[in-house]
Amino acid sequence: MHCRPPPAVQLRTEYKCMPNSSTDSHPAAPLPVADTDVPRPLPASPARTESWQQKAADFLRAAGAVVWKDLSAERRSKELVSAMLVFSLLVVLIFNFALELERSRATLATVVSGVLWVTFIFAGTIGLNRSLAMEKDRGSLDGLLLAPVDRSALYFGKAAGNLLFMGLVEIIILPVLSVLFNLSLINPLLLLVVLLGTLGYAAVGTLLASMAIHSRARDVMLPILLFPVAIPVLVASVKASAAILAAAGWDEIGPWINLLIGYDVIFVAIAFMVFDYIVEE
Amino acid sequence: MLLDETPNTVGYMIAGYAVFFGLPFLYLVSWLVRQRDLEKDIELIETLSEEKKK
Amino acid sequence: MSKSDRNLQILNVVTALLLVAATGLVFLYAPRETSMGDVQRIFYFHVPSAWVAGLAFLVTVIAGIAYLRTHEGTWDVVASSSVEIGVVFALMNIITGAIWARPIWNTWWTWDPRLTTATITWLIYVAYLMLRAGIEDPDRRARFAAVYGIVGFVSVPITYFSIQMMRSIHPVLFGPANPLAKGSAPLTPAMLQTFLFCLFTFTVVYFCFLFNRIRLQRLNDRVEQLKAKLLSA
Repeated sequence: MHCRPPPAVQLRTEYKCMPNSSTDSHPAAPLPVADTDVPRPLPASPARTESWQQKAADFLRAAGAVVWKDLSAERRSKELVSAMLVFSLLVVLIFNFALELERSRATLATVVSGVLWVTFIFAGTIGLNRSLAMEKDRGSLDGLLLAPVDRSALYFGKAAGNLLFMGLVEIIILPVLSVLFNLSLINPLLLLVVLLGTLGYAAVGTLLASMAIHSRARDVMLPILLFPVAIPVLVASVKASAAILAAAGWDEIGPWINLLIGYDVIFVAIAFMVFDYIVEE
Repeated sequence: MLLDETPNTVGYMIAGYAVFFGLPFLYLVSWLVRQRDLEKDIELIETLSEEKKK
Repeated sequence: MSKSDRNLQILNVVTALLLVAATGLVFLYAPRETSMGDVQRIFYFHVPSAWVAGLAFLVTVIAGIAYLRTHEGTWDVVASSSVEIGVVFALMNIITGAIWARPIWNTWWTWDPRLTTATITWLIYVAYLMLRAGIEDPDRRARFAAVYGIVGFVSVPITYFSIQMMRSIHPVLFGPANPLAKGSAPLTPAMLQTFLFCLFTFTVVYFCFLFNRIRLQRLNDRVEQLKAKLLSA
């Protein structure tokens, strides 16, 4: 029986040999799954002796490779971050004209917090869309999938990359908003909230974007899928940010941060569990 | 006095039940339309496959 | 007529009869509520609608997970059929809620946790249907729908919790204070009986709709298969 698994590639499912009709005298015989004649360039699953430390190292290495790939590509083209940045500034501008943004100190915290997060969410959506769309268009997703790594490592890498890009844009936008509204946004607690909120948004966003890009209406599909599901992140981030900017007590800030942490943990866990099903073929 | 206490909200009740019966009714109508379209498609496919065989 | 078709016909008839009985109870047996008037009768169909929507979306999530594990098409048929029904009943729930609120709270809409979460949930499952509509490959469509079903379903309680927190930390009156919030007024025995009967009826209605919708979906899938065969032949 002749079997030719693609060299140096392992598939998630066990490779079943198809009988060659000229040499196989019993076409009805059950197909052996593990055949000593089958050349096995790589073990189908890690050898039982591989420790969890080694698996973790493989995982991180794979995820790191994905992040590095995205960063290098972005360093060359700069198209993702620049688009997100320009869009963010335009959103702030539009807010300024669309809403009579009062400058009274009483409501400033709430207003700035709202503008901040709407900007981040819109810019983040653009980033997520383009990040995953580029993978699909260039076929690099297929290339990544051939690698002998746990699928979740790919998700982790993409999500981390998206988080980094969103973070980069946010680091630039925060001082700009500070100047525009005459209110300091460089506050460690606020930065923590921005981190947690962006993390949650990027985690769910990466998961949903990897599905949305396959849809026919792919540009608009991501917001439709993501916004309703990301409401808790939005609510918690806006409320926490407003409370921090208004110098409120921990009683008003703490619960929101806990909610953000809870949301992040839950949805990263879900993403890890289901990502395989998105990319299986 | 007692009559004054209970507001007359029959109109709203009727509106509500119009929705309760109307929406599912429209939904069922959409089923009928889809069913008829599908049956027409089956006829069309059968006639086309007959012609193909010839 | 095959056995399953005949069973379905029986279910349809039984459901119709139950609905007639429920409607009768609502208008003839249940007493008029003194503080709100006749509009309170909306309660008997309003809450069961929410229940059916919740049940429908739960079935979708379970069927989705079952599909991911077994890849059997039947599970996907169940999932997609159930969502449609859920969306219809959720919409019914929201609209009748607004109609009920208007004379009682003097406003069509408030951003209270229940109403807001109900609307967001409706949007999530409308998005689910749009996602399905945009993907051609049946297996991919089923897988993606199952994943989004899980994500959406898990997000609903978190959303409700976050909006509720919003109100408790900053207790702002979103609408006029209403001590007789929907359904919290004490129910007389006749009201309770009517309500429970309607709840039961709506559950039967759900399954009746579900099986009929599954039948329609099977017809649809058969047509798709025939089309594919015709084009490839």
